Amino acid sequence: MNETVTLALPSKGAISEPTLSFLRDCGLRVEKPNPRQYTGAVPAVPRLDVLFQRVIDILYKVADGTAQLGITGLDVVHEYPHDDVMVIHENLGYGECKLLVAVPESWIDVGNMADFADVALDFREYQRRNIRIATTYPHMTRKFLHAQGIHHFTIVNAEGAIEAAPTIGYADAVVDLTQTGTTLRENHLKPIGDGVILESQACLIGNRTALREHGAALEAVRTMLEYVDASLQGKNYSQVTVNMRAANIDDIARRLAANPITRGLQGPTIAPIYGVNNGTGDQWFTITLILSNKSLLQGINVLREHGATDVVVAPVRYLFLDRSPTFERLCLALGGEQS
Amino acid sequence: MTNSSTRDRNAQSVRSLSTRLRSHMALYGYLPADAPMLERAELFLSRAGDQILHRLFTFERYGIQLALRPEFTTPALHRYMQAADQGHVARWQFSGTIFEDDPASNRIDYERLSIGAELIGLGTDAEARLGADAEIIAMATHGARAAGVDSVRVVIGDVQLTRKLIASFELDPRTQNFLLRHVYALGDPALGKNYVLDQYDAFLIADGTLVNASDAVNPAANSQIQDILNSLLDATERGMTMGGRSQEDISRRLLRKYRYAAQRDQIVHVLDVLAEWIQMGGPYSQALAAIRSFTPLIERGSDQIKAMAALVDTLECYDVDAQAIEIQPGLIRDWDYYTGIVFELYAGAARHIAGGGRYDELARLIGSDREIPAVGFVYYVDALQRAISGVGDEGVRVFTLCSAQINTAEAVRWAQTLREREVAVRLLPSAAVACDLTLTPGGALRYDGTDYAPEQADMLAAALKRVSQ
Repeated sequence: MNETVTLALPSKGAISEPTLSFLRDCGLRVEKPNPRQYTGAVPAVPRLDVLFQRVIDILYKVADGTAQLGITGLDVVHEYPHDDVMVIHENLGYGECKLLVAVPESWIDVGNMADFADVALDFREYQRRNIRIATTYPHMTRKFLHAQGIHHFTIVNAEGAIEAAPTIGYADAVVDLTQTGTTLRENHLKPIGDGVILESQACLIGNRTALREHGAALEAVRTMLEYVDASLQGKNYSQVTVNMRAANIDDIARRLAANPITRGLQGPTIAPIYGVNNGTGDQWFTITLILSNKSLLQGINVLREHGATDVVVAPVRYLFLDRSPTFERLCLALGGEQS
Repeated sequence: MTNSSTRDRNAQSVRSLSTRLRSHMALYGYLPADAPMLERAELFLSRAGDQILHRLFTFERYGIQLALRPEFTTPALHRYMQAADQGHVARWQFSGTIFEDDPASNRIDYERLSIGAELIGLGTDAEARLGADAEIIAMATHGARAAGVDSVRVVIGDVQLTRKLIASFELDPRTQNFLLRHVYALGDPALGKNYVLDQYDAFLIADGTLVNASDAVNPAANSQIQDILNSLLDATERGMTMGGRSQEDISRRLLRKYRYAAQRDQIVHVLDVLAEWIQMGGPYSQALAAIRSFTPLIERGSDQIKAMAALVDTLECYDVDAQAIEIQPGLIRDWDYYTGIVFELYAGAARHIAGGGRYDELARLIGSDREIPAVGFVYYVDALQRAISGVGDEGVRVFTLCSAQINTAEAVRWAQTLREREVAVRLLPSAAVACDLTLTPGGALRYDGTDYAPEQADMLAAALKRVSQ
C-alpha cells in the first residue's frame, strides 16, 4: 500500500509565493530541490510530497485523487464545484480578493445591482441584444445575476485582460477578481457596491474519498492543521510579561482575574522575583499573560493601573489549543468516523 | 417496504393517471405529439417570465447555450410555425418529462412529468377564440374529473383586462410591466402594497443614483436636465470606455429614473386601484357584476367583460357547473406570454391541479411575422395525483385513518381489522390531512360522526364499503 500523500501547491500566480511563505510561517517549510522541477516535500510532515500545479489544475488533481490535498483559491473551488472536493480550511488569511461586477465609470447612472438590472433591460429594448459580460467565472456570474433577478445577459468567456474588454468593445461590463481595485480604475471601470459575488482567499482543500479511506491522508492533514491552526491562532495574541509590586500573589491574581482583558487565556502566571526589596514589605512579582492583539494596549493600561512596569511584549508563534478545531470540524464533516 | 417498490407503485399510478388523461383528451380530437427534449435556450429565454427564467436548466455546448425543455407550450408553437401548412388548426396533447432547475436549493429532482394540451391556429375572430378557450377549459376540467377528482373548482381571469386597467394610467411600458408582475403581491397578505412600493423603490428608482423628484414632470426642466447630463457625459467620456452604451442611453435612463421618482405618488394610487380590482374576485355571477361596474374599465374593458360572460355561458354548454366557476381579476400566471383568458383548476379548496391560458403574442416573440391564436393548459401531475390519492388504481377508495402517531398500536390494529374486511386504509398522523377515520382517546374509531368500538368493526366496514362503491 502506498502511504505517500500528495499536497498540490500553486506553481505560479498571485498566491504561489504567499503560499510558500504562509507554510514556512506555520512551520511547514516546503523543500524544492530543483526550482525547475514540479515536486517537493514538507519535512515537518512525514511522507508528504508536494506537487506544484496551476491553481485550476490543483482543483482537478484533488478532484481526481492524484493529489489528496491542495492549496488553491476559494474562487476556483466555487467556480468549479466538485462532489469529491471538500474545503478543509477556507480562510488561510492570505490571497484575499473579491470577485465582483464592474462597469465603465462613464455609467454614471449605475450605482447598484438594481441599476445594472435596469440597464440590462435597456440593452434588450434599445439595442436588441443582451448585455455582454466578460469573465473567467461564468458559473458564479450566472448564478449571482439570476439571484439578482437579472436574466437577460450574455457571458463572454475570456482569459486574461478581462478589464480591457469594455474598452476593446467585446463586452459591456466585467466580472473579475480584484484586490485593490487599481487595475479596474486604470481601465476606467468601477465596482458596483452590492455586486460582490465572492470574497475569496487561499484555502486548503482535500479529496473527500481519500480523507475517508486513506488513513495516511487524514494523518497528514491532522499534522498540517495542528500547525496551521496554532500559527493562525498565535497571530491573534501576544505574550505580555510585566513586573509588579504587591503584598502577595493572591492579591495580584485577584486583581488581574477580575478584569476579562487581563485574565488572559486561563489566568495569569505569577512568579516571585527574588533579591529585590524596597523596604515597604511589598514583594515584586513577574506576571506572564497571553493577551488578544485587539485589546493589547487596553490590557497594558489596565496592568499599569495595577502598578505594572517593565512591560515586555512578544509575538505568539503558535497557540495550540487542546486540539485542532479545524481538524475536529473536518472529522465531523467526514461523518465522525475518524474522530 | 423498500423505496424502490414504493417508486414502482408510484410509477404505476402515474402511468395509469397519464393513460386516463390522454384517453380523455383524445375524445376531443387532441393527437399525441412530442417535442425535443433539448432546444436552443434562446427559444425559452425570449419570452419567459423573470420568475421562471432562472429556473431554466441550461448548459453550453460548443458555444451554443442549450436548455432542457421547461414546458411544452413554446416547443409546440415553434413546431407549428415550422410546419409547411400554416393556417391549419393543431390540436396536440403532450405527455413527457420537463425540467426545472432551482439554483437556490440543493434539490436534485430536476425532472417531472407534464401532461397538457395546446390548441393552435383556431381563433381568427373573437367568436372562434371564445370557442377555443371554452374547449380547452372544459377539456381540462372534465379530464380532472375523469382522473378521479370529485370537485373541480375553475378560476378564470383575463390578463388583457388587467393590462388595460394598468394602461389607463398612461405610465411608461416598463412601469406597466412592473405593475402587472406585482399584482400577485397585492393579493398576498404577507406582501401587500408596501412590498410592491419597496420593490418599486429598489428596482425602478434604484435609490441613490442622481435622483431627485422635484421638477421631473416639467418638460422644460427635463430638457435642461438632458443638456446638463450630456455636458457631464461629454466630460466623462474623454478617454473613457462607454461599454456599449452611448451618452444618450445614459442620459435617457437617468431621466427615466428621475421620472420614476416623480411618479411615485401616482404609483401609490394605481396600487390602491389594483388592490380594489383584485378584491372583486369571487363566484362568477357576483364577480362579473362587480367588474362590469368598475369605473376605470367601463369603456376600455367592455369587450373583454362581455367575452368573459360568453365564455362562462359556453362552459355551461360543456356541462361545466357555473357554481364551480370563480372569476379572479388578479389572476396572472407565472409565464409572461399569456395575453388573454387565463385559468387555474383546483381540487377542493386549495390544491392547484392545472393551469393555462391564451398566448396569441408568443409567436411573434419567438420569430413569427404574425400573431398566431393559441391556447393551452397543463396538469400539475404531482398535485393531481395527490388530489386523487383516495382512489387506487383499480378504483378502490382508500380511507385515511388518523391518530396522534402513525404507528400507535390501536391505529395499527384498527387498520388491520378493516383490511381483513377488504377496506383499504392508509395511516397518517392526525395533523397531516383531513381524515376519514379518527382514533378517539377511548380506542374507538370515529367515522362520519359516529364512534365505532372494536367489536363494531363489521358494522363500520359495511358502512365504508357502501360509500366506496
